[in-house]
Amino acid sequence: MTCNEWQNIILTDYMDDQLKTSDQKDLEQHLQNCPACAAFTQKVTAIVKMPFDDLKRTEVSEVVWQNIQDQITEEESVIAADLPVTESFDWARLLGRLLRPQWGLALVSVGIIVGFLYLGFPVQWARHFQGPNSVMAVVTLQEDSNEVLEAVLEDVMVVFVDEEAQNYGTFIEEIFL
Amino acid sequence: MDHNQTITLSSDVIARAASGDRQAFEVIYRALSPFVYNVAWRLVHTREDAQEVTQEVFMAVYRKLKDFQFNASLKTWVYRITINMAINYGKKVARHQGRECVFDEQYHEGGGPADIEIKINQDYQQKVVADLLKVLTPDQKACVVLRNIEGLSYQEIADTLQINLNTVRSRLSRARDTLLKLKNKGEYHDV
Repeated sequence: MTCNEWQNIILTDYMDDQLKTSDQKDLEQHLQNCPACAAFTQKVTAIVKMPFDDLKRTEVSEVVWQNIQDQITEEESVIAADLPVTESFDWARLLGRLLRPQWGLALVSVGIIVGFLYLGFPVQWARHFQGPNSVMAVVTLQEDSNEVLEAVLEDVMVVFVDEEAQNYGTFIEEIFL
Repeated sequence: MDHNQTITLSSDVIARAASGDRQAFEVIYRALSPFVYNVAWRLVHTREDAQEVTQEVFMAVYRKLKDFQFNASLKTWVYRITINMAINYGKKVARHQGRECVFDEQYHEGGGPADIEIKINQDYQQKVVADLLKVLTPDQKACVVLRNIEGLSYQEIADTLQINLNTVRSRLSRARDTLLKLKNKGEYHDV
C-alpha cells in the first residue's frame, strides 16, 4: 500500500476508529516506519479531530416543548372542527368516483338511450333550438290529402308534388324535352 | 465528543404516542430532543433557528408517527428528518448568512473565575467548530456533525442519510481535506 492510500485511510477510518483490528495493526506498523505519514496523522488529529473533542452539548430550552404542545393542541382542535367537512369530502370523493371516464361514458350512454326510448327529447330539443317556424321534415302529400292540415300544425314543410313532372326527371331534362 | 448514547424507546411508547398519547410523545421528545436540537444548531448556526427546526421536526414526527414502520429504528428515522429539515432550513435562511452566531448566552451564567475560564474556552471552541462547519457543504457538514460531534458509526450515518458506506467515507474525506487546506491557508486557528 502506498503512503497516499494510507493517508486516505488515516483521514477517515483511522480517525474514526472504524478500522478492523488487523488493518489497524498494519497501519500502526507503517506509521512507525514512515515519518511523513506519522506527521500527517498528527496534523489531521489536530485539525479535524481535536476541535470537536469534548464539545459541550447545549440543552434544549423548555420553551420548545411548550411550543410543540401548543401547536399539537391547536392542530387537534382544527381537526375536530373540520370533522363535518371531512364527511362532506367523502361524498365529494364518491361523486368523483362516479364521474370517472368509464362511469361517465356509461351514464351518458344510458341517458341517451332513455331519452330516445321514452322522452323523445332529440326531436323536442331540435325544435327548441331551431325555433317554431323551422322545417322539421319534408313530406310529399297529395294536395287534397287530410294529412296536409296535420302537417302544417306540426310545422312540417309540405311539398305538393306534381306526379307528372316528377316522372320527367330533372330540370335540365325538362328544358330539352 | 461522542453523544451517541443508547436511546431505548419501547414499541409500546411509540404505539401510544402514535395513537395520540401526549405523555408517551413527551417520552420520545425527552429522549431524542438533545440530539435533534444540537444537530440542528450545528447545521443552522443560531439557537433561534435550531429551536424552530426542533419544533418542526417533532411536529413532523407527531403527524407521521401513525405511519411509522416498526421494523425501522425510530431514532434513525428522527435523525433523518432532523438532517433533512435542518439542511432545508439552512438553505431557506441562507440570505441571513451575515447573522452572528450566538454561542455564549448559556455559558456566562454564574460560576467563579475558574468556571469563567472554562466557559471562555468552551465559547472559543464553539466558535472554532462553527467556523469549521461553515466552510463545508451541507452534505459534508451533516456527515461531520453525525460522526465528530454525535459519534455515530459509519453504518449509522449511512442508514440515517440513506447513502452507502463508501459515500460516507468520501464525504468525510472531502470535508476533512477542505479543513486541512483551510489550515494550510492560515484561515483558521487551533483550539
